[in-house]
Amino acid sequence: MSVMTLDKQAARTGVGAGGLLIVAFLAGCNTDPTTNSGDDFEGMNRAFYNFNDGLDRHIIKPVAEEYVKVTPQIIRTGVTHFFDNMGYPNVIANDILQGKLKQAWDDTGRFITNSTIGIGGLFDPASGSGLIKHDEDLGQTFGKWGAGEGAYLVLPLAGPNSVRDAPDLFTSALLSPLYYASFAVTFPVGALNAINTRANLLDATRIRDEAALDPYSFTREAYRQNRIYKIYDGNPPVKVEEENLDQGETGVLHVY
Amino acid sequence: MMFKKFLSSSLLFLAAVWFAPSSPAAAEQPQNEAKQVVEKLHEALIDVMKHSGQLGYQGRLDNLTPVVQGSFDFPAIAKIIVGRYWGGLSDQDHQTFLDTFTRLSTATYASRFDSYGGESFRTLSVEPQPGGDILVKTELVQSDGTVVKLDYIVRPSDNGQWRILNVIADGVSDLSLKHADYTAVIKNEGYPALIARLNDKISKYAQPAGK
Repeated sequence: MSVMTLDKQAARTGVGAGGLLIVAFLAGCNTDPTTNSGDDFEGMNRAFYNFNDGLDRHIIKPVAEEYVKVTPQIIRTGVTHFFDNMGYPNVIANDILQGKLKQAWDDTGRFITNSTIGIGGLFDPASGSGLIKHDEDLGQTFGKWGAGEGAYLVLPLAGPNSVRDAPDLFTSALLSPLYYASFAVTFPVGALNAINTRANLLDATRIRDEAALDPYSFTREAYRQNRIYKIYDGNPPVKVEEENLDQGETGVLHVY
Repeated sequence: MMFKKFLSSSLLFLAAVWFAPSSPAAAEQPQNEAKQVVEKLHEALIDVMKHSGQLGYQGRLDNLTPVVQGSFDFPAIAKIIVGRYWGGLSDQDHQTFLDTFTRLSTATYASRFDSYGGESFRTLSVEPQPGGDILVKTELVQSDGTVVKLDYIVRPSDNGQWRILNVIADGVSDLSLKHADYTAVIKNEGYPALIARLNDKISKYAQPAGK
């Protein structure tokens, strides 16, 4: 109990200090993530991308495909609901940080409804009652506060990410009830989460594999687009600006 | 983009009304034209999906080529996608890229719209943007209820006709994706390699294994 309290205190202080540092750092950077089509860590990112891709192709994807084959859709939907619910306290926390208080209230209702009536999150009765699912995380919070991407990162195993978005990996884990269970529970359940998530992404990766000439760049751009979409809650600014074609330097391209 | 749609008869009716020669107030004309371009494309895709079996890949390609080419502003799209490298290419290269890219886009549609399962399209709104573009928001409703948001940016092309410049599927801009993808290939492998890779994709779509 006291160890957990210490952990929580440390986590809170760490998040607070880290958060301030990151926002200060990122505020100095461009505030629009797709302004810089550059990729400061491209060499390292590509290396991790290839590593992840190899792991995915040989192990994770085949396991996910098998999982889809042997598991009825209704069960997979239940698994998805369960993990969405597990991660919901993080959504509520970020609702509050972004000043979306009405949404925080609704999301709390959703979490309670699905945890109780939805039997531990397996079902989603809340959506039917109008308490729809929202998607918020610490990276989106930083984005809302004005932080740019910082730099695009490909993390081993975790995949596409950024300096702005990576801290959420830690804070969301701390806010998930799963974190506080014993390792014997957390590990296999975490593995199920990974496989189920991979299964849900099979269609998207199939399109990428079919369409992309350079999957690394394709993934990076798709990631960035998706983050902007989420930061603006589905209504990003729409504009098309062509690069300065005469200067031949890394230009600016926002295309929505 | 995975589209499988079915245009509802009410939308068809409304589209027919808007196709009528006598048009309403001048201010609405560009919006109607923009909407028509999108809905005409959707209509053609549905039609091809419904007859996908009897048409086969080549038949779908033959049917879709005129519509796809008439719906999108490929010269403008090609220039944006190549971005900073456009200026450094010869006119010959410009034309080669435009031709290859146009063929690839058509081939992609012909390949993807290969079956029909009761989906439907919904046009949600037509929103003029500051700067003159028009945003046409539509939705693809699949048979299991899943909805894919499809937003089209439409603008007048060189000949004054309204043409699609970009499709944004669930918040992801196709133009941005291709720009990032293709400029990476030009940067790392050179322009001829890009053309070769595009032709490679086109022939992959045409292979018998892909219906």
